[in-house]
Formats: sequence, C-alpha cells, structure tokens
Amino acid sequence: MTRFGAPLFGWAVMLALLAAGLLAWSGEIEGPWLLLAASSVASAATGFALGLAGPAQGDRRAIPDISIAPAVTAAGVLVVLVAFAAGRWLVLLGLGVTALGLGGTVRELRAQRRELR
Amino acid sequence: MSTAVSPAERSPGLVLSWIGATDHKRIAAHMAWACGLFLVIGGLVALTMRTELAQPGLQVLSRDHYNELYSLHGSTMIYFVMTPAALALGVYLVPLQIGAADLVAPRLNLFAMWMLLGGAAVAFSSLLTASGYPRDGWTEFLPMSNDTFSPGTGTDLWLAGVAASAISAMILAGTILATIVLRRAPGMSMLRIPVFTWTMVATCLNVLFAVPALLGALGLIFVARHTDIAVNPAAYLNLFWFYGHPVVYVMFFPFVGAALEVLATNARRRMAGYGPFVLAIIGFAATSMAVWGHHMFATGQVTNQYFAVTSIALMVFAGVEYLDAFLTMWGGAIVMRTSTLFALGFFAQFLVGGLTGLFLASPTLDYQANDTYFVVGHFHYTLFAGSMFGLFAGLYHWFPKATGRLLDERLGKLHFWLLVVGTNLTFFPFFILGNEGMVRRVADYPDQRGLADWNLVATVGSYVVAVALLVFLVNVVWSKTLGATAGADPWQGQTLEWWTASPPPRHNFESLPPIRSHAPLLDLREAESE
Amino acid sequence: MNAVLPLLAGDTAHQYATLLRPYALILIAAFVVVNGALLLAAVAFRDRPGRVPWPARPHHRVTGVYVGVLVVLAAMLATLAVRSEDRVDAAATHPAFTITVIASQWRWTFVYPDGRHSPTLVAPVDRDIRFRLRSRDVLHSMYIPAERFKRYAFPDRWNTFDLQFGRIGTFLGECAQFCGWNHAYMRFTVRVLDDAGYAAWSTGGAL
Repeated sequence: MTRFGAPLFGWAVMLALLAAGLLAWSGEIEGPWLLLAASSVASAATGFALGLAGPAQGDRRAIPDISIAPAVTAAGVLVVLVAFAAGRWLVLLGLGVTALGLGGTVRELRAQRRELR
Repeated sequence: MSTAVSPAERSPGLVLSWIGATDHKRIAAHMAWACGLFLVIGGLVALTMRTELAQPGLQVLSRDHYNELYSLHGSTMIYFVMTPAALALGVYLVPLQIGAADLVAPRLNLFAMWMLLGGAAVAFSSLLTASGYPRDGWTEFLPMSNDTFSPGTGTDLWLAGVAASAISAMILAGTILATIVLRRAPGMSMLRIPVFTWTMVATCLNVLFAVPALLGALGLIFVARHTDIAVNPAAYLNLFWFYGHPVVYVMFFPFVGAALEVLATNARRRMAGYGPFVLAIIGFAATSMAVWGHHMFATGQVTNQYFAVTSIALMVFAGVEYLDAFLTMWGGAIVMRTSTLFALGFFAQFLVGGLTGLFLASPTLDYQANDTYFVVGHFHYTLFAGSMFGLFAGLYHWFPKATGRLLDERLGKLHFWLLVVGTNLTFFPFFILGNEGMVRRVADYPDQRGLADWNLVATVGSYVVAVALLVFLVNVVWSKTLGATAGADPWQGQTLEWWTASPPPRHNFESLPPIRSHAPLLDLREAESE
Repeated sequence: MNAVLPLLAGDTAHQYATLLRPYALILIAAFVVVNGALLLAAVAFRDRPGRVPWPARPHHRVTGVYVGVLVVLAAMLATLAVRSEDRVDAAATHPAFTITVIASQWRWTFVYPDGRHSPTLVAPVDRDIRFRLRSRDVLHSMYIPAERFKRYAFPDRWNTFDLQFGRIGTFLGECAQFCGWNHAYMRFTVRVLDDAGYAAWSTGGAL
C-alpha cells in the first residue's frame, strides 16, 4: 500500500463516521445514509486500488504532443448524448464516431509503446 | 524523474494543433479562454436580469424569457465557468508544482476538455429550440423538469450538455489526483507538495465522490421524461444536493489555495501552519460531503438537526485557513500587488458568505431565508465576491508564468477596486431584500418601497461589476502581446513552477532543484543568503 | 399589493427573533474580529525598505487555542440551532383546527374543516393551527415572511406543520419554490382576525 493509500482510507473512515452519525441521529436506513455509506465504500475501494497501483519510479515515458483522436471520441460521445434530444438514430452515428476515436487512440498508444522500446 | 524527449520538428498546422494539443498547459489555456467566454455570456445574462429587476413590473423581459435567463445564468456559471475554471487551474499548475512533465493520460484530458466545450455548446443550443432553455434553474427539480411541465427538446439538450461537463470534470479530477499520487518529483513527499496542490487533492476528491450523484440526478430527469416510471421528487432532491453541496467547495478549495500561495509569496515568507492546513482541508472536504441536507431544511424530508450540526462544524476547518492567512502575513513584508489585493479581498469578502452560511445552517433561520434573496446574496458572496477574487489573485500571480508577460498593475488595481465596489453594491442589498421577504427566481416582486430601492442599488452595482470585468479583459488582451517581460520568477516564488522558464517548455522542466520542503525555492534562497 | 411585513407576527417569527439575537451577535463579532485582524496584519506588515520578514516558526499553541475557541463557538451555535428547531417544529398538543393547503400552478387553495375553499388564508389570532400542505402538480413552497416560515409542497406526500398568528392584520404570502411561468405572481393574502371576526367569517360571512 503506498503512502497515499492511507489518506484515502482516512477519507473513507471520515465518511463512514459521518454516515454512522446520520444513522444514529435519524434512526432509520434512509436515502441520505445510503448515499453517505456508498461514498465511503467507494473511497475505500479507491484507496485499495491506488495501493495496488503503486508509484511508477524511473520509467522512460513518452508524452504525446498532438492527438486528434480525443476530439473525435468526444464528438462521438456528444452525438450519443444529444441523440435523446435530436433523434434516437443518432446513437448509431455517435457510437460509430466514438469507435473511430477510440480506435485512433489505441493506434497512437501502440505506436507510442513501440517508440519507447 | 522520467526522462522527457522533445518531439521531432514536424510542426502541425495551427488548426490541428489547436484541436489536438495534449500539453496540459495548452488544455488549461483553452479551458480558461472557454470559461472566460462563458463568463461573459453568463454575465451579460445577469446584467439583463438586473435591468429587469431594477424596477417593479415587467419592462424588459416576459416571464418566460426571465425564467430562461435566470436558469441560463446559474447553469452557465456553475457547470461551465466556476467548476471547469477550478479544475483548469489544477490542470495547468499541478504538474508544474510537483515537478512532472505532464498530467497522467494526456489524451484523456484532451477528451475531457472537448467534452466540456462540446457540452457547453450543446447546452447553449437549447436556446435555439422551440421550447427554449429549460426554465427550472441549474437545479432542474422534478416534477417541474419532466416532460409534462417542461415539454420539448430544450431540457434534453441541457441534460446532454450538463452530463458531458460532469464527465469532463470527473476525468480531470481523476487524472489530476493520479498525477499527484504517481508523478511527484523525487524528494517530494505528500507533506511537501505545495498548498495549492493540496487544495486540488481536496477538490478532486469532492468531484470524484459527488459528481456521480449529479449524473444520477440527470438520469432521474431522463427517466421521468422518457419512460412511464414515476420518480420520487424527494429522491431527486437528495441525489441532486448530495452533488450540489460538495460542488460548491470544488468552486472554493483551489481558490483558497491560490490566495494562500499569493499571500505567502507576496509576504516573502513561508506559509504558516502548513500541517494544520492539510488536516483542515481534508477534514473540510470530507465533512462537506455530509451537509447537503441544509439545502432541504424547508422540505421536511431530512433530519434537519444532523445537517445543522455538520454544517456548523465546517466553521472550524474554515477558521484554520483564516488563521493561517493571518499568521503568514504577521511578520511578513507584504508587497501590495494586485494579486495581494485580490487575495485579501477574497478572505475578507468570502467571510461574509461564510458567516451568512452559518446563519443558514440553523433551520429556524433558514425557514425564513431559504429560497429568498438572502441565500442568493450568501452564495454570490462565497462564489463571486469570494472564490472569483481568489481566482483573480491566482490569475495575476500565474499569468506571467503561462504567458511570459506581466499583467498591467495599474489596470489591475483599477479592476480590483471597481470589483470591490461592484460586488458589495450588488450583493449586500440581497440580504436586505431577502429579509424583507423577496423570493428568488422571480421576474417581478411586490411594489413596496424597500424592495424597489434596494433592487435599483443592486442593478447599479451590477453595471460597476461589468465595467470591472471589462477592465480585466482589456488588461489580458493588451498584456498578452504588449505586457512587460516576466522572466522565470518575477515574484520571488517559493514553489517549483517558478524554477522553469516562462512559459515553460513542453516537458516543463530541464532540471529540478533539491526538494526538502513545500517551498523549495525559498529554501534555496535562504541557503544562499547564509 | 401593499402588505406590511412586521417581524413578530407569530410563534415561528418569535422563535426566529429569539435565535437571531445571539446568532447575529456572534456572526457580526466574528466578522469584525477576523477582518480586523487581517486588515491589521496587512497594514502593519506592509513591505518597507529594509524590512526583513520574520523567520517561520511553528504556531502550535496559537493554533490549538484558536481551534479550541472555534469548537466551543461551533458547539454553542449548534446547541442554539438545535434547541430552536425543536421549538419551531414542535407539534402543538391541541391545535384548534386543521387547514388543508393545496398548491397548484399558479394559485393557493385553503380548505377549511367545514369544506370551505378559500383563496385567502383566514385565521384567528393567537390560536395553534395545523396545516397540511400538498401540491397538485410541481414543487411549490408556502412562505409567509411575517411568520419567518416556509415549507415545501410535494405532489406525492403531505407536509404537516403548526403555526400561530400573533398579530391581527393583513400579511403577504408567497410561493418560494420555482414552479413555472407564473411563479413570480403566485402570491396569497393572510388575513388574521380576532375571534369574533373569525367566527363571523367562518359562518359564511365575507371578510
């Protein structure tokens, strides 16, 4: 567990305490308590995940300069979101564009990895 | 430190570079320009609203148009100005402050930027539909926002745009937090990251754990509009406010961090109380997740007393931040630059918002003040007279780093004083209006002397605010090309961003100094003077 | 409409005024002390030629005392708030009668025990009156500034609360939760009458 996992667990503990307080004060399993408890579970999970990831030291890392793929992907996602207002058929178009963008990203990441080897 | 290699010299066209730049500094700059544009739009809307409200009766707008405008104003300012501006400040500064070459996952951050810009365009486009911009405020409570009471595509476009901005915020919060965890320079432990970066930790935590509730709330509206499922209005309220309270701290934490760094730098002194501040900001962020019920005191659907206690508890954490500001100045040698003035203005004016917030934290007092102009005054003091002043402090402080040029000091001071007069003239009357019983989200109010007079004062103040912001715009445009050259460290800064050139190269740093505290450059200067 | 807004028009307003005094005192004192201190520091420690900033040192004791003071103040404010809320939201033991309030786009209907529907809230002075509030469509909020009180109206549940009107007169009532096109004009009148006047009205008389 990295040193940072610990603070995130602290956050989870704080949220859990606040949830317990609300439960004690209101005396029922109600919506608010569930919301608080859920976020504390989520943060504990995050802390655990971060602990597993660990800091990456001393890698050689490539940082991209220009990438059109994110703009394309975003356009696709936005079209999907707008589809509910402008016509359900747009979902197909949007998913297609998103796939294009994601494909482009995968290609770039592969090229980046090859570059580093 | 990871070795960074500059790319080959095949320079892409201007448009391609504008669309595809993955450099966190470029992303932040584009977000900043976009937020500036949205601020102008939201501000012009506010001016129109204030012009209508200057006198009782309907002179300028119809009821329908007013309702569109007040919703446009709130949605724009929260979803498309202050939240992304807070994150953009982190996108720009965090890698520079921790000695990293870029944020984690640059392409993902660029995607998030486009989601924000595209989302804003989609949300604004609802103005062009037959049903127009949705009229139920940035909060869009059910059942008002369902298809019976808000028919047409306007609301659906708004849902899409706001959802896109929410996804954008979550992505940026995730990558900023991951960068702070994984990309700190050697020697920079968590207890040596700068104050501003700590406030970004708190900001990102609030975004990551609160914004999903917004997506859930938007989903509830979607379900109500497009299915036969009956949605419980109180459930919507709980889900929305579970997001809606932490988000106001998202729009506060980075700016208190900026203001403290400005004060420490300009007082030429190490920030006082770094340790207590770290504890306070994390405690503040965690507790702020458990106060949302105070928005619902008058609904009778939440345990009012629990939320009153947690809301009041926030004053302890806020107080530590104020103590640190005071102790940093006490014993300093404070240079009264524009950034210092804005930092001081932030603390002084945010306090009005904070204290009226304590007022609202008591259910008895809230039953009167909620949904009146009192609460409108409260949150404009925290967000505008407070957070935005902190934002300006940060902008005057870090503009030279980003552009290589200084903002003009005389225009800066004019901007500051005009804004002090303007914000107080506009928003202080709101407390009086609320006390007199004027409710919010209304195009008109009862024709009583008290209400009309104070509304007129507030309208005059809003025009002063507009002039102040115009002065700032002129300053930015002029200084960007004709301002004095800044050099790497115009303010005798204390943190790593001042070590590198202004503006920094693509990979941020050619070298790094030794890091033994949260103020490495101050350490170096003190060692040299011994 | 020209309604008067006196501060103390009923029990909830009285609770409000009672709480406001200590609360406002603490908040105003905090404003003066904190901003005064910041102003003092900013002026006293302005940069001057030859001024050398003091070296940094830890402030454990000051911070500890200050946090202690804040915790005590927060506890005071919280106790005041909780006690007051107990009183404001307490259910009256023997309410005189119940008025059903129906909020709808964009008017208010007050239904009396005998079935009479009135657009005006007519009430006897100095009596505990129970209200059952509901909406016919979207969320509304019944707000009487003179009572310093408001409560949401939901379409799927009742909100019940008790009010007492302590002063005879005519008062303003408003809708405080945005409810669509005519929200700004969704107002109502509160007429508080003495016992005789109320008795006359409730047996079919006019106001």
